[in-house]
Amino acid sequence: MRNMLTRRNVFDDLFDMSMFHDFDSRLMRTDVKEVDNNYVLEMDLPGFDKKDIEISLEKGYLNVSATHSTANEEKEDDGRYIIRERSYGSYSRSFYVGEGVSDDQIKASYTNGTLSITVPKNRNEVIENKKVIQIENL
Amino acid sequence: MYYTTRNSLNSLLNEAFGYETTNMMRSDIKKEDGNYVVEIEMPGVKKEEISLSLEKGYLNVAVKQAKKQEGVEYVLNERIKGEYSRNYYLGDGFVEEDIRASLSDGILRLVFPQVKKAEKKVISID
Repeated sequence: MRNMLTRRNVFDDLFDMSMFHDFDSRLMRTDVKEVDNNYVLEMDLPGFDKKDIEISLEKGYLNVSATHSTANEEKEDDGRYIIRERSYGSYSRSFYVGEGVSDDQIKASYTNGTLSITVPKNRNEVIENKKVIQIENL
Repeated sequence: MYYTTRNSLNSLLNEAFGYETTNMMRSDIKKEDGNYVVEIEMPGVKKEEISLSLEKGYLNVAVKQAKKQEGVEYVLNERIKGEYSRNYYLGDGFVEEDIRASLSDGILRLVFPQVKKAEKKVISID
C-alpha cells in the first residue's frame, strides 16, 4: 500500500485522481501508463457485460461506473451459494483528465474483464491555464 | 465439497503491494443443477496464462503472467501481475475430465458434479 500511495501522489501532479471516500481499494484496481501522447487506463472489472459499464466526462472528470445486471442480483437471493467473496452492486471511480479533453478523443474497450481507456494528454491546456500571479513593485 | 485457504506462490508480490491475498482470485461457489460452480475473478488474465491441475482431491488454479511491461512508464499501478494460485478441495474420486472450465470477461468458471456416485464407498460391517 505504501508504494501505491506514493504512486498516487506522483500521479496527482498531472492527472489528479479523486475517489469516493469509502472507495474500496480491492475494486476497480487501475493501472495508468503513458503511451505516446496518451494516457492509457486499464481497470480491473471482472464479470461485467459491456452494457453495464458507463463512461462519462463532465467538467474535466472522467467517471467510470459499473453495475451488475439485475439477472445477477436475482441469482443472489436463491441461497445456493456456499462461498461468496465477489462484490456485486454498483461502483464508480473518477479521474481528473482536464477540461480541455472532449469525449470524442476518448476511446474505450472491454476485454478479458479489463476496461481500457485511452485519453489524450492535456499538457497544453495545463500550461495555458496556469495563472501567473504578478508580484507588484511597491 | 470443502474449501480451503489459498496459497500464494508469490507472497513477495503481495507484500510489495501491501495487498492481502484475499484480494486476489475472489471466488463464488454455488450449487447449480446438480453441479458445483466455482467462479473466480481473473481480470486481464488470458486463457494461456491459467493452468489447472488436480492432485489428491485438490484442484489447483494457477496464474502465471508477465510482470509489468518493460520500458513503459506507469503513473499509477494498482493491478496485480505475476504468479499466484489457489487450491480448492473437491474431494477424492474426481478426474480431470469431470471438470469443465471456461473463461469469459475475466471470470474463470469451473463446473463439476456434486457427487461422484460411482465413487461412493460402502463400508461393510463384519
